[in-house]
Amino acid sequence: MKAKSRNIRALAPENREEYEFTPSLTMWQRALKRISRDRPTLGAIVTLLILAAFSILAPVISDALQIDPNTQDLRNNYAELFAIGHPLGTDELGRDHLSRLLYGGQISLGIAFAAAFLSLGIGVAVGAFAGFYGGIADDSIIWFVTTLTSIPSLFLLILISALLSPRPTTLVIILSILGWTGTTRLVRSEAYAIREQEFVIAARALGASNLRIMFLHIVPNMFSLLIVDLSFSLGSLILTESALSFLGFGIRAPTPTWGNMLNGGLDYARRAPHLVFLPGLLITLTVFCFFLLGDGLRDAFDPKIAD
Amino acid sequence: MQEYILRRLLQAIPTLFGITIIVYAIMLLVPGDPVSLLAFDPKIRQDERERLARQLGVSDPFYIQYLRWLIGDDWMMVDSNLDGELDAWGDNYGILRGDFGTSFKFRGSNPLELIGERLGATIELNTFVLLLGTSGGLMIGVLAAVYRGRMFDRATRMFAVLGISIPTFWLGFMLIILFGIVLPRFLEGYGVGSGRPILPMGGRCPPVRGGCPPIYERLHYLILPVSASALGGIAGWSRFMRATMLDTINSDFMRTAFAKGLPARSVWYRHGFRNAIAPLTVFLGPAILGLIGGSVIIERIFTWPGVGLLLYDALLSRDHPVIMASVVIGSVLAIGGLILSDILHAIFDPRIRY
Amino acid sequence: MKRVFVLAAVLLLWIVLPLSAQDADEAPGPGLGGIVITSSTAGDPATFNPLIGGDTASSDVYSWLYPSIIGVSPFTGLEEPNLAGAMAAGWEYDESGTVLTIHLRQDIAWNDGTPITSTDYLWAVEATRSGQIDSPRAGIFETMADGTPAGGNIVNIEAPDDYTVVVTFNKADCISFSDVNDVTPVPAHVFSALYGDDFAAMMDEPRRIPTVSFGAFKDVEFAAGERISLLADQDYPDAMLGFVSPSENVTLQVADENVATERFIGGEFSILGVPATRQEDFRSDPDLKEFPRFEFTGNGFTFFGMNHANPDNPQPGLDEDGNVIPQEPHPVLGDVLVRQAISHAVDMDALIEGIRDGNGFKVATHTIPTSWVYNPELQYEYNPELAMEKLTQAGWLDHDDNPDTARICQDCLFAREVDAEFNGSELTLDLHVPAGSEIGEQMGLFFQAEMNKVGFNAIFEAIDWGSAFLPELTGQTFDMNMLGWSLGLPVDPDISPFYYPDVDVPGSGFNFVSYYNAELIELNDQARVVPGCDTEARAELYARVQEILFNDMPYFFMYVSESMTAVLPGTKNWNPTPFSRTYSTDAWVSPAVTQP
Repeated sequence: MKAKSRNIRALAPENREEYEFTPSLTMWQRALKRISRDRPTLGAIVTLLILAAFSILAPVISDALQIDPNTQDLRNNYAELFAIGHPLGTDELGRDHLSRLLYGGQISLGIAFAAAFLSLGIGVAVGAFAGFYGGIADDSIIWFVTTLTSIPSLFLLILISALLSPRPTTLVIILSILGWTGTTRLVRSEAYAIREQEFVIAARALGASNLRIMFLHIVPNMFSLLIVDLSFSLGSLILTESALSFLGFGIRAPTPTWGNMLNGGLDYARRAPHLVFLPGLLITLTVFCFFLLGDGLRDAFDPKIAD
Repeated sequence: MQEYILRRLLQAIPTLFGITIIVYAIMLLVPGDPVSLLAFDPKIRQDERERLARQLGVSDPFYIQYLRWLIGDDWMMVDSNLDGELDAWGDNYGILRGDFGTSFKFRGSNPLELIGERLGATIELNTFVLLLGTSGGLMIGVLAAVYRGRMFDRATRMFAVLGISIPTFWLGFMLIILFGIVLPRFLEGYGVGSGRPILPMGGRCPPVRGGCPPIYERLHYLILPVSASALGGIAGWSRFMRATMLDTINSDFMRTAFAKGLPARSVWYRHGFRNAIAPLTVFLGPAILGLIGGSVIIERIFTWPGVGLLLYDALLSRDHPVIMASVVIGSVLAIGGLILSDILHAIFDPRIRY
Repeated sequence: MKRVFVLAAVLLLWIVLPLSAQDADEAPGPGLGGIVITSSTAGDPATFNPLIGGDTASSDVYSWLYPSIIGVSPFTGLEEPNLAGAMAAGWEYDESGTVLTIHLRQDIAWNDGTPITSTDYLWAVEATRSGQIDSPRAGIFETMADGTPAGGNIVNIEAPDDYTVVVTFNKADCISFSDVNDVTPVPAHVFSALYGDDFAAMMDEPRRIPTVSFGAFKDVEFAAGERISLLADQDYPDAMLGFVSPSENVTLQVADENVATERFIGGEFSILGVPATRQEDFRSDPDLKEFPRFEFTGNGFTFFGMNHANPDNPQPGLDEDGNVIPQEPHPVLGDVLVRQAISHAVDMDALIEGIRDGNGFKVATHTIPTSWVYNPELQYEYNPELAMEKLTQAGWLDHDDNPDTARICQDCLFAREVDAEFNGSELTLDLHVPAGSEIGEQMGLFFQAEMNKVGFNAIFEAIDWGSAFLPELTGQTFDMNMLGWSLGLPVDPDISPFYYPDVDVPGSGFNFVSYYNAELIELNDQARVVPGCDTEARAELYARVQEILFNDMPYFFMYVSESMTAVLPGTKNWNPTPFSRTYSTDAWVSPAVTQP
């Protein structure tokens, strides 16, 4: 990269807008530098890493503390926080709340990540295809996207949830089926704009295939956009999961998720407030961090903002 | 311009058509039938259930049901006395001629009337949510851009993000308990108030005789649902407004305006704000759409008698005519919102020519 | 700022200050008793017309506006003459038991002054029988007006004079008496002026507001999705105090049970049927103790249906000629020993105590403790050892001496009778409950855990009511599904809707467990024609019926729920009974908040 920059400078030494051709830092380096100074974003990243680590390590932690998320003990239900053997108390069936929160996090975060990446994948593929080829393919894809997005999404979500009864895997599919349209629009318009630019024309002149151009030149060019998009959709997906639980179309017992734990806990808000507030706080905190991260990344990648 | 609007309206037709096919297909693919839901009662006899199924026409294949819904069956013979022979002309006109059929659950009721009874409540709530969301968001966003990097900017960023991070149903539930039980009893302990709810804990109108009073007499019923619902809007709009405002600030014409020595206040609001508002109009349509869909949760928590709840109940009871009518009306509103937002965009953004 | 706010809510939530309650014995006067506000999760009523209505939301409204022909006492749960709001002053059967003569009260009138007579009942009967309207009640008649069979037992209903109604039955049948009450009398002079003979015209205006009524409340005002308001009718002759105390009776729609409970606590509702998950709050939370509450045994039971027939091959109970078809047994539940083993495997006391906070009355047959046939001696024995023994006896062996793994079929019933290749299969079945009920899901999980302890591999799942649970239940493709029956008043022990082979119809019948026992049906048929429907003679037959049900276990009968109803502190004249919590509404004084 540096060598290339030097070449350009050598070719046009007296160019007044030299700084545009020879950025002192690459986009990535600049973003990294900006984030390292953005304390809220850093905090969000650290929190998310901790939450993810806890969720991934759920089986290990449960084993170490000898608490199982599904062992019932009806004589010891609604235990309060810091009860002996149950650091975060127990739920209505006497199951350990800490380990249920850990496993619930694993599933909630797992669903969010899987659905976000799957819909990103669909979105990028379809969007790049539509934007790059244009014509009838573009028209029909855009018609389909417009149609899908003109149906209030929660309605569609409820209908499809009734169709495919929601287990973690089917919920990922449901959320992805409905989640890809935003990315498609984004990628399509970007691909549309990029395809006439010099580097694409050059690549084509060099004999690159359309597929190659699409995935080696166009997609990486919008990487920053997609990362921001991904971060926001991760947050929204966790919220959607909990909203579906509230409407009775979320993941069903016995599988714990933060969403169904929060919704189920509302029944016991008076008797055992920790059953409501802990899952609620975890959802809020996680979503908060994802949104903060998305916000921070958007600023960090924004070329228009001066340092 | 007129031509553009016309073109947009024409484009909406295939979209609407697609929506009805998609929703109808999914609806019929869902296992379980309306009859066993409507008549899950050991006292209802077997042949009555069969009669009901044929009356509702739910045992016909997908394309027949869809076509009957779309174009009616008054041009063909049907089996009216259910003896297996075609003996009379059909009496459905289909929605293309304005006949939305009859609700399964509320036998004899026209789905349009059922929606009409509730549309006012949905529009009322969403108008306030949109107004509060946009005005609050715009104000905070502009100020955040002006004071970029300072305390106000940082604080509102946190506030905005936190606002959209709380699950709405949880927030609503907490607000109801806070203003209905906790605060009033706390205040009563200090001799203030009677311990009765400070704000209504749900509903749209006072629960007394005499219909619903005009809206200015029951604004307090709107406070909790609108605040819980608008929080996300304020957050979204303020972040968006801040970004577009910053774009505008960095633009040449702003620099020119400052360079000319115009007073800062007038530069910000006369030039900056007006230019920043143009791209906002793009988001108005999707925002309206989001509110129509998202209001189910707010309506459920605050018992707001809107279309969302009607549709939710219809989905649970497989009330096909009501589901389809709500989806059609909802989509027409949503598409209308999108077109409106494009038109506004065209008006506000002088660079766009049609 | 926001965070502080939420935190404050969290902290304040549990510091609730007590209300001051005061008591007096009398209502201040007509319409001075405040407004009665109740919440309903049943949704909008489909109609205010009792002849075309079938849903509870509708009957909740029109039951205030129209009399019933025979009243059910709120104190005994049985039909009695001369009750408030009912027309019958007495009745008798002839010797054959097929002709019922009902004598009507002569002292009641619609609120426009027109006396209530047999004509009013007869108009409703004619409309119901006409076949022109959608009525779920037409099935009480033997034939419709045009002669097509309707399947019921009532041959004819006529009125020799204004205050006598004579009902002729096809055959003496003790359960047909309550059929008479299925048709609600309407003011004939109003209805015939409106519709004449064109009964179908009623279907075109389901939400027509009734102008003439008979009851403590009148004048429906309806706001969709929001409320139904009724005004006190001071012309009501049967009012308990001689006048109607509340000025208004309002029903507000609430979609969410927890919201309804909080709004009640906040004072916005007069009365609340406390959800099972919240009953313990009202018992033990010091802030809620001053809410007067009434706990009673409900009139319905919860059970796990156990499919007797092979779910891979659902068959009807009868062939086209009405002969009983022997069905292929369910691979696991087809054997009565396995069903009994399940009854020994589950600790119902722990379930009732732990999950239902004690709000359940353990039963092991199809009737409820308040019924005249209840036999307290029939109880499932919790004995996991015995459960394992019975499984072994049934040919389900613990092949590896590890109770945690599933047992394996070795010459079990299905292998013996249907397919020898079934030997070696695991003792596995699906355990389904309808999604959406927190308590139902917990009970399902508990059953799973208990059954797996004795060597089952039970796979629990909560599934959507409309799209999954009902289709597999009525389609008879389930293994064990949890459901509840709510029994209407008066409760009759008749079993014909549930265990007769003619209602074993895949797709819609209610004998979805495909249970058939010839002796049981013989006994029930006998009990229905006992001369004079003598309760003692019937009870004797039903004692045996219950023993059969207890041993055969078509259902795992679980419990009758203990319900709770609470009212606001300061409510007066609320005298609940197990059979009705609202019969005295016209005497209430309620402090519900109407304007914050």
